[in-house]
Amino acid sequence: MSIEAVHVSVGYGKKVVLRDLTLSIKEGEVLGLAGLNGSGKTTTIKTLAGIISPHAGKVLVDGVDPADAKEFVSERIAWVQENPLFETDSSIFDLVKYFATLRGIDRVDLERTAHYVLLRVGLSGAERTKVTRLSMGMRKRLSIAVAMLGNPKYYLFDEMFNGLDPEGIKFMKDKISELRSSGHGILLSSHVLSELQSIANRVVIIVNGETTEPVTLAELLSQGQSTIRLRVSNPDEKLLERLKAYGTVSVRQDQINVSGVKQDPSAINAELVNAGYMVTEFVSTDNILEEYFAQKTGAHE
Amino acid sequence: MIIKGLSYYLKRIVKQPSFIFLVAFILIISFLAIYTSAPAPFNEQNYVLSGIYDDNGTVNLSTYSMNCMGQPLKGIEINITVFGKIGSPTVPTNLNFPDIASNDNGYANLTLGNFSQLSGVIFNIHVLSKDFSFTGQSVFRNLAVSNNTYAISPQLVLNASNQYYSIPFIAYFGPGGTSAPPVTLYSTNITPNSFSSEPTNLTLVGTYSHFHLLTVNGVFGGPSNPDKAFFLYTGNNSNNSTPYVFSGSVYGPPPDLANTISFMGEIWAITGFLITATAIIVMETMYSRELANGTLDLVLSQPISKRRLMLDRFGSSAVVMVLALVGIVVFDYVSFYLLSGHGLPAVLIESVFFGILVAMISMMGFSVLFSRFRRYGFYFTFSFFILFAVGSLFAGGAILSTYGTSPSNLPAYIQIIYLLSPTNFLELYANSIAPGIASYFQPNYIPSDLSFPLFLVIVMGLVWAIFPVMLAYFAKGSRRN
Repeated sequence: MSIEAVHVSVGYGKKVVLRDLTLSIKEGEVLGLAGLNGSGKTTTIKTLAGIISPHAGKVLVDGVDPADAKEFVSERIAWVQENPLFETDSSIFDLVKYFATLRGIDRVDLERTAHYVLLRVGLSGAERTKVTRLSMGMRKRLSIAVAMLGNPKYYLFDEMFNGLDPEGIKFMKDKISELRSSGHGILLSSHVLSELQSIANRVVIIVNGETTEPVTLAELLSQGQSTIRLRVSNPDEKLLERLKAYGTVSVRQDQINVSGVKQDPSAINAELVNAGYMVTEFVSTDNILEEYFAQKTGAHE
Repeated sequence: MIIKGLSYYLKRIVKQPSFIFLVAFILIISFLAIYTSAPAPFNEQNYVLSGIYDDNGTVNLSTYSMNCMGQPLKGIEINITVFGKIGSPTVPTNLNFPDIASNDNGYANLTLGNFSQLSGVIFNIHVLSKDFSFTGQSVFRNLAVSNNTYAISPQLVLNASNQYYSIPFIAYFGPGGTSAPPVTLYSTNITPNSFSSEPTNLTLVGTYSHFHLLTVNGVFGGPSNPDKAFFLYTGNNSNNSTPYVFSGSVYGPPPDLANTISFMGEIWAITGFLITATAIIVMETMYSRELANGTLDLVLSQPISKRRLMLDRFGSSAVVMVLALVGIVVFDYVSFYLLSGHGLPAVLIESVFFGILVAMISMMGFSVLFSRFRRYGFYFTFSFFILFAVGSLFAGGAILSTYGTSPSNLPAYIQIIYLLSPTNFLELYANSIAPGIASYFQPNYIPSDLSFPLFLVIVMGLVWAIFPVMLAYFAKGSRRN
């Protein structure tokens, strides 16, 4: 059982946003979705959620097309918005109860359910707070609480890490991991590639309205896509030649970047020191996804 | 529950600043209007009408019509004061019109017995209703051709302070033909219920050879003024012409309430405009604008169809606006009652209520329908509403002023256009549905303004109210389903 999008094309009026969206979200996994601004990540999510109808191609949720059975699909999918657009004058509790009603939760269970989901996202005790008074982090937690109503099978997270402090990011990652562990299928759209890398099982990138083949983290690691950034106080002509043996070298002012590194970065550092170079800064970015993203989108440097 | 999330929607709407502001504004201007226009409470009134008789002793009290502005009459009593010398018949001194109790129109034709010359009666009409206009006509004609004497009296009114005052007594009298002898008018003070002798202290008022308009002003009756009667001698009318001795319309004082009701009608026209505008704004913020700016996307990702969501929000908004309208009408009624002691006429409330109700629901439907135009939808709706409202005032007025005051006077094809046209919507309801409903709830009510068959008007109302939202419901081509 999964969400499948096959050669989906979506647009607004004459403007085509997605030309060929093909992906699948399986239960018990996190599929990362990356792309430049305006590449169509949110449109992808809206399409999967059945809010937008594709011009071409097919979306199937557990084998059912949202166009045929929108309510069936919506019961299985929860969309967690980047910046949840809730009615700001409502209290958290009223809002959650309202969405619980839409989710078909029985009237007698409304309050109990609302308390439960708010407890799970750490908003217990803030029931009477108006949405307008919530911080971005709390608003996103509220968005997750709303999404959890009715226990949907699939979660579509849209830029969940934007605007969050480290604690908020950790909370979100823990929550996503928890949901994955309990067998939910998750689509995680994010600009924060390091976080995406740390949690996604597979990643697809939207480039020019088309999705790349999904890659796993293990595949990226095997391709050796980590990057080293270093500064040396006594560089010489041999230094760059020496570094080229490890990967592609580029220089910006006094900073040297080596991408496509396959060796252990600490071993490289040791070798440079042993060669007599005064290494004042040595950073292994180890951001293989960022590198992969740059390759695919042409956004490198 | 029929409407999913009804309680949430209700809370949301009533907390909207625009809703609160506009409803509060309507209540304030309504109250100010009522405060400045409501008549002071007044008591039941006595109307004293002239007594008239001819020398054959036939007394005519003919066709008195009372329009009570939709308010049920509690009853009407006519007390008869007899002065002068009575002839043979037994004169009833108290007449009741029980049938008038729940009717807006009363009619009376009385014939009393024979009196001798220089006797007369005064009808003291006691109307047990607070609000009504009173019209009547005393026709005194077909006079005998011999030497005749007629008694006429000015119309007197007892006001709220229990003081008599007179309405100008207007009478045309005189011989019907140029060859007829002149008529002579005398006046005398009278002693009510004195039957022993005829008045003797007659004072000549004037002799008239042709039709003459007589206006008598003055204070008659009451503690310091004796009642006064007038006697008219027609002389020997031997040429068989028919002297047209007296034919005067008698109008009771127009109740203050009539003017107030007219004023309230204008206020309610403004109320109707404002509350319909409020309904459009509510519908706009509840559905159309949210749809346009994408804030409904999260809701639409829930297991609910766009159509269902549309109907839920439309229904919730309609519930709130209908309650608001009922609240405003009740507020106006109670305010009016407390300030004046009068209730507003049911007909007026019905016409206002149903006219506004249908216009309001209809415009909310158009708001949903025009949401297809996204951010321009609101402007389309409001423009349409302005056309609707202004058209009601001007186009309807123009048609009616051309063809008459009632739609029933219009040619058939104009009637059809009139019936179908949104521009005459409120007026149509005021003219048609309200009297129809009034006649349903008040069996004796005579719906004089019922211009179209009631069922047709109701059907048209339903069409106007439901049609726009149904169009939106079945519309195709939306990017969201």
